[in-house]
Amino acid sequence: MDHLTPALARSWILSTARLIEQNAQHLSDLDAAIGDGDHGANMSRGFQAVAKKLEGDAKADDLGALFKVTGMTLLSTVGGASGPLYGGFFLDLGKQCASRAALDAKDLADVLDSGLADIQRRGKAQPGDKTMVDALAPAIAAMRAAGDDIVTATRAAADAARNAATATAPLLARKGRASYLGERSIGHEDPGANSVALLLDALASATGA
Amino acid sequence: MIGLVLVSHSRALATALSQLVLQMTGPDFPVVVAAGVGDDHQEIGTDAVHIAEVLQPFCEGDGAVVLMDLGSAVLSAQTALELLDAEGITGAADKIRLCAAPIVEAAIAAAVQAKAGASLDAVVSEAKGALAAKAAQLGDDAPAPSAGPDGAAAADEAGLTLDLVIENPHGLHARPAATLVQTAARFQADIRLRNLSNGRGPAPARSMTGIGLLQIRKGDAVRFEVSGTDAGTAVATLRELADARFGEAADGSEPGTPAPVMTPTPVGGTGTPPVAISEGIAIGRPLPLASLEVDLRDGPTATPAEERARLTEALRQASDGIGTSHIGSGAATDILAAQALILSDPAVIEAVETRILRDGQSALAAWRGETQALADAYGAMEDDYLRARAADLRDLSNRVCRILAGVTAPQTLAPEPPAILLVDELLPGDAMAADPRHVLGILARSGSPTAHAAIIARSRGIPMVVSARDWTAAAEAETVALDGATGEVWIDPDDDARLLIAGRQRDHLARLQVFDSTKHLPATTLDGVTIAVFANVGNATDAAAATENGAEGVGLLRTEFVYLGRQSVPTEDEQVAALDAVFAPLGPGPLVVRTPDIGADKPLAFLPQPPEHNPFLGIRGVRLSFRHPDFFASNLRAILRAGTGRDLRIMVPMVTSPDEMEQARALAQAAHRTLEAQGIPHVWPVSLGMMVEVPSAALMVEQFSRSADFFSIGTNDLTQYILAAERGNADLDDLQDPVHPAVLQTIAGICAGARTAGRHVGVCGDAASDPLAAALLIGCGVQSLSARANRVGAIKAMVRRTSAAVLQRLAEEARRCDTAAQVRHLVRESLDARGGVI
Repeated sequence: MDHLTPALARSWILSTARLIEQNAQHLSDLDAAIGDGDHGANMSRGFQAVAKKLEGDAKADDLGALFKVTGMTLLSTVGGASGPLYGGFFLDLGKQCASRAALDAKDLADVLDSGLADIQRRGKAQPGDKTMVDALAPAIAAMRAAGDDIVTATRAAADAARNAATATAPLLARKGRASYLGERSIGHEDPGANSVALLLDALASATGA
Repeated sequence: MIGLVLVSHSRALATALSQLVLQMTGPDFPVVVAAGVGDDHQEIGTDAVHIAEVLQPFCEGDGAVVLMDLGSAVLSAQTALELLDAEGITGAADKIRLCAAPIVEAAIAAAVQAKAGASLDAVVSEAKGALAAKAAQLGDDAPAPSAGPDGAAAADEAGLTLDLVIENPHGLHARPAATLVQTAARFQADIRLRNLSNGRGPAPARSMTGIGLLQIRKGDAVRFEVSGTDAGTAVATLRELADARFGEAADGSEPGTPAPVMTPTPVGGTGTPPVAISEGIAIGRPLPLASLEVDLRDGPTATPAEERARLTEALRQASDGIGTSHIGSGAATDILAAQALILSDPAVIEAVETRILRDGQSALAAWRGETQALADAYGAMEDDYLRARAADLRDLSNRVCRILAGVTAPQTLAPEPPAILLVDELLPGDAMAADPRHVLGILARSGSPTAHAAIIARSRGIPMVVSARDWTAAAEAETVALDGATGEVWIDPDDDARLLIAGRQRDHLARLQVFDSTKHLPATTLDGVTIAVFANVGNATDAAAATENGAEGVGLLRTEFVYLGRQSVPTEDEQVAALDAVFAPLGPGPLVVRTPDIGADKPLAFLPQPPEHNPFLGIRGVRLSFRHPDFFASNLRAILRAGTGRDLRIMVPMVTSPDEMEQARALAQAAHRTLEAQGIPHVWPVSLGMMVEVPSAALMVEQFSRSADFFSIGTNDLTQYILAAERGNADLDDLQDPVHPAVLQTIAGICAGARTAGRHVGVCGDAASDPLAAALLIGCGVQSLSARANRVGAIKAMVRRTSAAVLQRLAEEARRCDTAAQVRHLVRESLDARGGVI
């Protein structure tokens, strides 16, 4: 296994939808501590809509179309800031993959890097601001370091994202609703970093299955 | 004019803010709401795709300033601009400006500037400075407002508490919390809640964020602390709400629509399901209208000669009363004019006079006896159309009886407090008398959507449902609610139903407001196809309404008002004067004037016609005009004269074969030559087009393209003729729907033929006023829509939220359906997913 094919990518998205659904309450709990308590419900609503769309839409059979449908659906259904952030991320992935049949491990890291840049451009977040970026950036770095085997690379990325999400707890939130809490945001994990960890976990299980 | 777009997590917040804005600017300022998330945008959140759809028309117009609340609203608005840019919508970058100013202050400041005609830069600059006045008022070093007392109820008010355990599978997450917030907001009382299980709180029950912070999970014990005037009711309501799991089903899914109450069929009633008559949501106390059946006391009977004189005088007064009545829409006045004919019907008068002279009855007893017998006879007829006219007769009978009894007819029906009227059958006169501010809705035991009273209810915006099976229960209820779009009726609705009704009501009003605030913007689809939206006009009131409601012209000017109700042929000058009065309020847009469509259900006193067994298949429209050439020539001359200086076009109704169009063209040219010879100013040349309502016309578009300059589809008659289902027959309402696949197929054929020949196709039938049907018409290739004036905003809003390519595919799919019901289902499924397009 050395490529992310459209079939695997579809399985990645659907698997993300399942993981988000299973962890919706946990994500909302994390968000309730430092935000408006809706991250799990929002992400769940968005990814369930994506899953429904993909199930009814066999046409999204190339990477570009698949990611575009995912992005557009998230934009219009999530509701919170993660809508434009995740939606824009997937739209960017769609653009990167427009004429590509499959991605090898290096391509995948490049594409995710471009998606990360889109999130940072949109959300104006820097590493250390206690956001999604804090899980996604180390995950991509770990993916590049793990070499050419996509199973190993995505597993390394998932582990890195998980650890990085946990490591957001001591950070001071500088973006989004959590930033209103100032010092009181310290000691809680960032919900966005946690949903990124789920996204990469789903990627690892899709390629490793 | 620069517009204003309000982007918020909360649709309610943005809608309320747009109301504040409109208070400052007046109703015709383009302020539009892009708020909320979910299928109907009622959930808290923002939707970048929706925002892009709302922004798109402004990119092609004068531009807009976008004000956002916070967080995702800002990100979603930025993303919306990127989406527009990616779709190649030019103008997004130049004409749309996202402004960081505080949304409430900036909205007011920006709107006032924009309304004054300021440039985009000037509006943005004003918005940015909007906080200055408030800062100055409070002083620069004003302390931040301190947080309120932490949950403690005021000491002088007895606080109530309610402890309960949350059973929702995911605790009080977004949706049930939102339901709680909505419910709490209905009460004056201060409602706070604590999570006893984790010690968090208290938080105000009206705060989503506050409730979220309590982290209420399944099984948590929660305490509500309620204080204030209606605390008792609030506690009871909260308890019921918790019992109903805050509107969430046991599995955590969305609640279904509460089933409308089904009451047993009343004796003598019918088992037919309720019929939706007039759109809108109403809830209130029921008020039977039996009180209107005034007990008319007859005075002592005078001599037969005196009684006959009283009758004559009463008929004259009734006729005058109708003649001077200017309330209601064109449809309503047409109906009254037709009624007036009965007042001069010699057969009726002779029969009444016989009762007076021969039987010695009083004028009142004779008139009532004769007309009620006549109404009963109509009511028993086989022909459904004639049966529906019984209501007109009863109405007229009452009018004259009141005059004879010296009782002043109520000019307005205005129950206080406002109520839902329960009527046996709504009479046109009552429909016109009903004051929409006091008559919240109407529930009738019988009636059909095509009855005159139904048309009037729609034109006056009063929600109405016909339902025999709910009627008896409604009469004994304390509260009745109805949804005139779906035909649902609730008898003493429970809290769940009330929540649902309140939600729909809010949604309905919000939608009306959006329509209203964007009605003057052009109707361009997301993929750049502009549909002209005109209004239908039948009198001066309609004409004024057309201009006010944002119609870009008149797609159908009915000239029947010039003739109906008159006892003698109006002179050409009289016709010009009557047309002038109606043209006066109109703007400069296109004005399509239809030559008289007389006959069938609209007979004329001065052009008596032999009785026809089936008037809809008889001498009507241009067929009648050709049989009275002098009269028709005077109609054409009057239209040309009244059109001087206007973009006037002439349209001929009920055309069946091409030689009729050639004949009409020759007559129009003759009218022009006559006027020219006399040196009378008039408009020339004019476009001469035709109604497409007869199937032969629909099938021969190619031939007609040689003699007709444009086509306008009359969907009502076309539907009735294609489906062989008479318009007034309530038992055939499934065959009276213009979205029937056969009708759509016909319309698509007309459009295809007209496109080849380079002819414009519009629609001026009722279908153009129904957003769902109108969407399909556009999908079939129709280029302009002429709607009821009060629907112009709704139709434009629909056009702006959709794309022509999507509608074309949808219309193709619709034409492959089997029934009109399937088509409606298909369109709802498809367009609802796009967020309230229809």
